[in-house]
Amino acid sequence: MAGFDQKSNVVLSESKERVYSMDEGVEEIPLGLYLVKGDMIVLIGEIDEAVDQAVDLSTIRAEPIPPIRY
Amino acid sequence: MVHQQVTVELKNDLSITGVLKSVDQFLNIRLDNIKVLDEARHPHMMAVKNCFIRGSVVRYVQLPGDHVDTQLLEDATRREALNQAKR
Amino acid sequence: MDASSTGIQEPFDLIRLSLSERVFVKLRGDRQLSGVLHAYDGHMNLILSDVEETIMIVDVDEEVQPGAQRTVNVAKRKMDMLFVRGDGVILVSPPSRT
Repeated sequence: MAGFDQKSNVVLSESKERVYSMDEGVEEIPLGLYLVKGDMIVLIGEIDEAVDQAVDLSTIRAEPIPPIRY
Repeated sequence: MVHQQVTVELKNDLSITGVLKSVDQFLNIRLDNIKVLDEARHPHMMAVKNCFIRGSVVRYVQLPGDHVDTQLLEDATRREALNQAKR
Repeated sequence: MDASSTGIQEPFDLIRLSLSERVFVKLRGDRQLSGVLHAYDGHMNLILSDVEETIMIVDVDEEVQPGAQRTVNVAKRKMDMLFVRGDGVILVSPPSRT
């Protein structure tokens, strides 16, 4: 996280998008430097890198998280 | 209510339990030591220990009932209602 | 106008007089709550205790026929103490006085 503001807009460097699906492993798309608008954010979590690296993403099958409604 | 164990239910039906660290003016919530309730279905946050939840996506916050002074809440609410009415 | 009088002059007075009483709350997403009201604010954020939530889930049967069968599933759960965010609140109804 390279920066943020009052409206919880955030700037991420070296960002990656993870796409979850039931049919295949997690797809990881490198995005680089991104500004993400606060409205679109549900949650920001601090990643424990040790745990994160221990997970083999290709074995993970998961439903996408349902969208926010209302 | 800070440092209590709470469960935050989001508008996408996810429930996250954790220790409440802080709440701001937008009701954004910071939780420590988090756990997603249905972890088998949502493994996305395995490596996440603490987080910031945007207030606008919160549906409910479940609180530990025995740590809430309901009398205090009701008095504060009446006082606040009175202040609003005076404007 | 004497704001401290107990008469009802504005909508929020109705909620104010329901403090520490059991209220019925209708929410977005086909949810409703019944609980004892302890606090609210101008956003209709609420704090309720001894809450029962009822969620209506409508399943439309797959076989599409005229006047398709609809089954309504009702899920209920109880919660000790609950904060409800105001943006989901549709209505707050005071206790029925008998």
